[in-house]
Amino acid sequence: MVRAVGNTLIRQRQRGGPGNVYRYLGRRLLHSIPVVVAVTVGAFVIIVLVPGDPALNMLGYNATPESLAILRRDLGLDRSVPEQFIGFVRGAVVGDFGESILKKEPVRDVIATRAVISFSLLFYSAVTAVVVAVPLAILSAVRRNRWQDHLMRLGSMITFAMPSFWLGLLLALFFAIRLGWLPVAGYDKTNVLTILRSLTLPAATIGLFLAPILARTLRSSIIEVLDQEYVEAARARGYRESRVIGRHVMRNSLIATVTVLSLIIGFMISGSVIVENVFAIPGLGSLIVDAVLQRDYPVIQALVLFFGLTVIVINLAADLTYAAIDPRVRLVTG
Amino acid sequence: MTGAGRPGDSTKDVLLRVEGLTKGYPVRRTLGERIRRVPARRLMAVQNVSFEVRQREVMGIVGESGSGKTTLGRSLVRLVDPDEGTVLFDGVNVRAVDGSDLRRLRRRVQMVFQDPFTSLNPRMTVGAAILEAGKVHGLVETGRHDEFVSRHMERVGLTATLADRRPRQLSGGQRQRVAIARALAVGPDMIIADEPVSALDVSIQAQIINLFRDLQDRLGLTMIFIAHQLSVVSQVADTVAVMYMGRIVEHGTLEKVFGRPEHPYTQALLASRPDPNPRHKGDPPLRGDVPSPLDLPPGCKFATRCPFVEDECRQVEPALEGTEPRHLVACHVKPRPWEGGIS
Repeated sequence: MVRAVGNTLIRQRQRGGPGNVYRYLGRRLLHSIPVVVAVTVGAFVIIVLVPGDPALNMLGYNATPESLAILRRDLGLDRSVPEQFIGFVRGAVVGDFGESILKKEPVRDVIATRAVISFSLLFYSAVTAVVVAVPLAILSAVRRNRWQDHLMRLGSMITFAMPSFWLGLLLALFFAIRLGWLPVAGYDKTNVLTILRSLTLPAATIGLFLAPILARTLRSSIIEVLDQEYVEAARARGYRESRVIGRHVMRNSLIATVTVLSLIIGFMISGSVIVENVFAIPGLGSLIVDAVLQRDYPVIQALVLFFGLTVIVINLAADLTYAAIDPRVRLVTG
Repeated sequence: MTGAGRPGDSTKDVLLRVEGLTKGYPVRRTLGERIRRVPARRLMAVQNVSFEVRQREVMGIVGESGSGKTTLGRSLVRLVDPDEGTVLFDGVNVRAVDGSDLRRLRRRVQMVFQDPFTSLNPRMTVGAAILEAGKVHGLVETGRHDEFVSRHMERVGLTATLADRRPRQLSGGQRQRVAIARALAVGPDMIIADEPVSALDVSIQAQIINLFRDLQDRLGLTMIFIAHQLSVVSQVADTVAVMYMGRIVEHGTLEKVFGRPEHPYTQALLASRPDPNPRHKGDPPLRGDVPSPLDLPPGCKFATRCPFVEDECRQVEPALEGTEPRHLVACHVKPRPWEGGIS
């Protein structure tokens, strides 16, 4: 990524637009500011809009007035709303979201340990999706309107239509219970291998949910490129079909994959909430479910903000990646 | 300008021989037609075409759009698979080869396409495209990449400093030069240029035509040059084939076909050339309708528009036969040669 951006930079300089990449990056960051503000306000408002008294909601009706008062003070609920907001933003900037009511640990630490697990899972899922989708998309595009294509499109419709928890249960039933190849659920962090084994079924579940979207977009973009004259020209020069597809077709089709991947990152995060619960993976998804059920407001606030920022960062990264993949994408906004 | 297209002459130096080449495309039937079980039809793009191209000879193919020029050019390297007929390139049966043999053949017969805006991969720099062509066929020594690229760029009149550019950053003429350089980079024996100048501005067309002539002189290339503009073909070709409705109707040396055309269609084509003198009244344009390529009349395909049409023309399709050495015409009537052509 860094190297790719570097290449873009060199090209920009050659074109006589010095520092174009930085200007672009700066502009995109500026555009992100309103979104970040909105997400922050949204995360903060959660605690203000909770009907009734948050402290009472959290501690239950049997709480003593003293403990309620302590919690209100800890949460800053005894101050005015603007003061609370400033306090929240101040804390957010340095990553301080207070203490988890449930775990009695700083929210930051709770999120950090689980974020590693969740991001490994997301990455694993994305890799699975790409590994499944790319060959299928190529096969389907090259064998356009033949049985291979129809099978792929039907199959992708089916896996896409299946709810992810159902797909997850089916996979667990078959690979974990029937064949016994992988653990049914849980997260064994003994070593890298056991971690991989624990994450395989959840990653396959999310990956199989994503792969159809990816495969279908990629299929249509491959078909579009296949019809281009430069592909025929490459064949006419006596190149192998594998080279024609790999070097001339795929590189021009990949931009669609990047777009779709970045767009469905939101899906992936919400998908991971369900899948992590199905497979008992202690990631952010199961954390947010626990936090909501237990009314652990500091954790909820922090997670909402964290998910929002993650999506913003990923989209920005995707935009920069386009420019690296496709030199024709001009780094101009607006 | 020497050489001829007459089959049966010396066969020793014939590089490409095409016999009875036929290619049709299936026409999709509408749902109603399928229900009524109307038989599937084929649109015959090229019908029973035969010709020869000798070593170092440039054959021009002219014809209006839809006459089958492009399909003919593409079937010679199997970008389109012909239905019938034989194509022999330097003794190799083009229709029988496959896999690596086909790739080897395609190296020897290079194509230059009409639109240099679409025939170059937008992602690849000029240098990378030229280098790839050489590398795939093992023609570049390691460590001499830059030299290979600059040699081929300079040969088509491009400065080597453009090697880092992408097609988008070049003009149409420059792009077509890149496409030519890329074709020449694999060391071909023959070039099939499919309307290589039609997409360019008129001022650029002349430059590219000159480049083709120059390269042909220096490298001794054999070439098939497809164009719809007679003026373009007359500048590069040694022999000319005129196509109409997928058939060759006249074929011979440039002097004969353009100088003393015998087929009424060729005569009409030449007569309809734009005349620089506005006071000069041209012959009346052709009357009659072009037949639907899906529903061709049984006899001569030009019968519907021909001023000399006779009864026989509507019944029997004329064969392409020699009227004099190195001149073949497909016409029953054979009106007297028209002397108003380009001489």
